[in-house]
Amino acid sequence: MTDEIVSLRNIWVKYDGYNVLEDVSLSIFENDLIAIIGVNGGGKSTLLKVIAGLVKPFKGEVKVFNNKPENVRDLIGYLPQYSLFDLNFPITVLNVVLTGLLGRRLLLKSYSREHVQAALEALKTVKMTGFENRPLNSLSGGQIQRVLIARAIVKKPRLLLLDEPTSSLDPDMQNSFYELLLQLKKDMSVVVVSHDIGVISSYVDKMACLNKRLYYHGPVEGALKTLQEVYQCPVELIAHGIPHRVLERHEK
Amino acid sequence: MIFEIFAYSFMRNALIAAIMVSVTCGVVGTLIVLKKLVFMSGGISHSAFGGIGLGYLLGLNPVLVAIPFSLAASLTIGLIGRRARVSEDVAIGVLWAVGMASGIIFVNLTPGYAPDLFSYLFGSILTVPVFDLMIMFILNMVILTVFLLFHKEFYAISFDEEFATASGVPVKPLYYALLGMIGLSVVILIRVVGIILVIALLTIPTVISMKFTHGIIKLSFASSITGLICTITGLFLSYIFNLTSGATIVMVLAAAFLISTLIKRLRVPRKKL
Repeated sequence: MTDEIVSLRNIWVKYDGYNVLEDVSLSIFENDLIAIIGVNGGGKSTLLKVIAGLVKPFKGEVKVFNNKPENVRDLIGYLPQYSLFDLNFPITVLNVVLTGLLGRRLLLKSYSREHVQAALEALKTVKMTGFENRPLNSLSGGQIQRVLIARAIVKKPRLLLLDEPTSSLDPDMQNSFYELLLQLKKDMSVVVVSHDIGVISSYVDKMACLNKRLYYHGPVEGALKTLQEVYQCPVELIAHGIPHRVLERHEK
Repeated sequence: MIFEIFAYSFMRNALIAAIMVSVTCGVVGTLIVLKKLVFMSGGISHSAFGGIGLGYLLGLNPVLVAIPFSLAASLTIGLIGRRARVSEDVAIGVLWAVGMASGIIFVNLTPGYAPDLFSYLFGSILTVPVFDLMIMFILNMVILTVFLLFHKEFYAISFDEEFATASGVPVKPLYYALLGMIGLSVVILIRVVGIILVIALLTIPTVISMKFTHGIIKLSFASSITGLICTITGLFLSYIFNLTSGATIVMVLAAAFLISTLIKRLRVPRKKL
């Protein structure tokens, strides 16, 4: 039996007096690859932030690795939503990835050779080898996104939280990105927030459909069958139709 | 002629002050520009004026009184910006005006005329007393120590605060430490260029450096050097042409900024060819 890594029990979150999440309960297990889908403003990012310990629910219980999220930050890799920072910030690719190693452990210490090695390794995983000394603002949007994914995985987290990871990737890159997720999934649980159900449904094992409340949580097949009628998920989500499975899943 | 200038002790003091100011503006300026706190530094520097006025009223050293005052101002701006439902720039605007006004009223209430007031508004590097130099030195050491201990974290917070929080970097304490450093540096800079021109010294050297390098350590080093060259050039020019030193330094900074922009423009196309 696999371990329960994230356990949300009856989570309620409020912004400015309005409920963003209502009574959300969710379990994520080891090596899960789960997609959280839903409309804009449906609370997807908020749910991810609750798991990352960035947003405190006013009601309910959050446990990550049987602990409070803020106590297990070293085990959680996080990719915030794109475009939240200044793209012209004077920083090199390597330094961006290195910030993924920061935390309480590294206070008052400097980056060691092992840290740099780990960063280069992470860049290799996202196929960005050779870019380490480039300034960030010389990269394209898709390349930056891959660098940020490297930053999220550089500390080898056991839980990876990705907020709209494919939003700035072209369709070709999206497929290789999901291939990467399948590879990462062997070592960690992965949660992907997305409003595009298209490609994602052929890669993930489970889906959670969120619109303030959690309308569905379980295997992909069930989600697709019942999304619109029963669980009130928005029409445009499934308007693309159920995608063809382009590549067979890697089951090793 | 250069040696002739240093025969005067006030010129020597001015030079020492210039060096310390350059280090401050290099380090704190880099943090301010990276974290986009330029407007906030303006607010803090103007509210420090309230502290100086209070110093006159109480008959104490105005710089000593300005230290807790600008520290309190920076922490207040930070608290209001983070906690209350008031946006940060509104908080800055209010403190900016209130600080200035309270400074004027404190001076009004002070019996007699406050002869040095002009020097706090527009700076007077030539009349920096030795005692103030010592205060500046201590504050500089504090700022440098904090910077060297936490530069990685400051860099990460400036780049992506949310990610830094999720990684377990103590973002809040470091943010308040940064505000405190701005408050302290403002006190240092008041002596040299005056409240009104503080922003120039905190931003222009860093903005120039950002055209040619990146990385928080390199940036702060380059900014310090740039600041030093500009302050000393300004100092000499003000001596030769008998101009207000603070204003001259700022004009030199502005000229340096223009020149650096031109150099950058000329260099970039050549590289691409």
